[in-house]
Amino acid sequence: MRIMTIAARSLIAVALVSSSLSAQRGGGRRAGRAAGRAAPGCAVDTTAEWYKSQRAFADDSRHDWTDDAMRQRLLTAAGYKADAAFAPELGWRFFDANDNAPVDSAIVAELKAMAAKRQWVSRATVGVAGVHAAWLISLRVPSMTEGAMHRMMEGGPGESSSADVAVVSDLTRAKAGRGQIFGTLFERLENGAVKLYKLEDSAHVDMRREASWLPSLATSACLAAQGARK
Amino acid sequence: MKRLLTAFALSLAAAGASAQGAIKVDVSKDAVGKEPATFLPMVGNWVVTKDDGRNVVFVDGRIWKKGQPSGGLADKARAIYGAEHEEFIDNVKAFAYFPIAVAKDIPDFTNGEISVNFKMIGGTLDRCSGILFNVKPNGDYLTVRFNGTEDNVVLWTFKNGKRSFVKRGTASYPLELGTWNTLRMTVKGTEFKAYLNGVLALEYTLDAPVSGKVGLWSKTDSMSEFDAFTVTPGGK
Repeated sequence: MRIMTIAARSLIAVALVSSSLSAQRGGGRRAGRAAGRAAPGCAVDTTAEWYKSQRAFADDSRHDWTDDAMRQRLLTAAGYKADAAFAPELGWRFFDANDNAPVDSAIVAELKAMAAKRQWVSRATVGVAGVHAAWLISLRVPSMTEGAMHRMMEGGPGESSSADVAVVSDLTRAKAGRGQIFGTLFERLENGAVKLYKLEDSAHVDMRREASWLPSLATSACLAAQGARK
Repeated sequence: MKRLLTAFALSLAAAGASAQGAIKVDVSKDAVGKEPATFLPMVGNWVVTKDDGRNVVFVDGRIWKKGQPSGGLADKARAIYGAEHEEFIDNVKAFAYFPIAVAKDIPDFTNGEISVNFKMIGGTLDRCSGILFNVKPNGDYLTVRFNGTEDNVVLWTFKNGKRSFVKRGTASYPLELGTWNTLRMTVKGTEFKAYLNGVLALEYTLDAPVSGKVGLWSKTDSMSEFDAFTVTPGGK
């Protein structure tokens, strides 16, 4: 089994895709740097099914999307570099981390209008990176987060990364005062420790995470603890 | 006719008919880790699993793949619908998005009550648990279900492989994953009612009286456990 530690992975990732990492995690750019100093044990198994599933889904090499202009607008608005190295969703972010980077209001209005009509961007039109960029935008705009989540769910398994859907599901539930179900949200305590945000049905959380292409909760918790020390 | 009545009586005994007329589908003797013997999985992946020491039915949406009915669909359809099974297969394939498992020993439900306990385990796209009823030999059916991604109870109809919305309950029920809940439906003629944990969630006047097989229903990648599926016939 080939294990690439998060340290090694992140040194590459931070060098190549710091902007995408910052956009993907609630911890922002700090999370990316934090991951670069991994504690022993925070290992990412690149041969695991969750990793391979994310990687396979992220493959945009066919270049078969139909609306490249829209794709480019989404990527620009999200600050996401589609040609950067693959950086997996590692299934953790801080609940109190707010990524309030301004987003192009025109693209937000466009996405909101689509969601209102029960539509969403698709792989066929904007490619995987375009769909991922729309997800990143939806996380930054609270008024469209839940709508985006429902449209992603309705789109089915071929349209959005399961990991992205899991993350937005937890965020939506937590913002509504409910417990998360995938265990992707952590709280930072005053003493520098981290605490898992309230979780429903902890007995099956790793089953849900595996099905959503996320590493085990233990791995994500390790990474979150590491992130909190930064 | 006498033989038919005897077979029906034996079926009810196998299904666990009580003195009060309630028929509880008993999975306690079904093999853990295998498909249930008491429910026939027509679409999706259904297995018997242990929960707190007792056997329950688990629908596992993790291995769901769009358009793939569970294995042996033809044999299963033939087992319950004989010569009419081809039409059933054609239609259920069209909506293989929706796992169904038919209670083998409930030959026909027309009036009365059906209840089931369900526990949502997971699902990224859906977290659905439902009661299947009015299942016709051509694969048409009705279902009332709870969806944990929408927190609501909805009645759906499936005709010729096409799903159509019938009625949505107005209330929102933010149920927790990993907890047992009860979905119950009653039919009296065309009067339909559904209850969630004892609370009336929706009522509707059906287009026609129901008559058909019953069972369990789910959707796409939902992972749910089902227990205590009970049918209480209400007479004609």
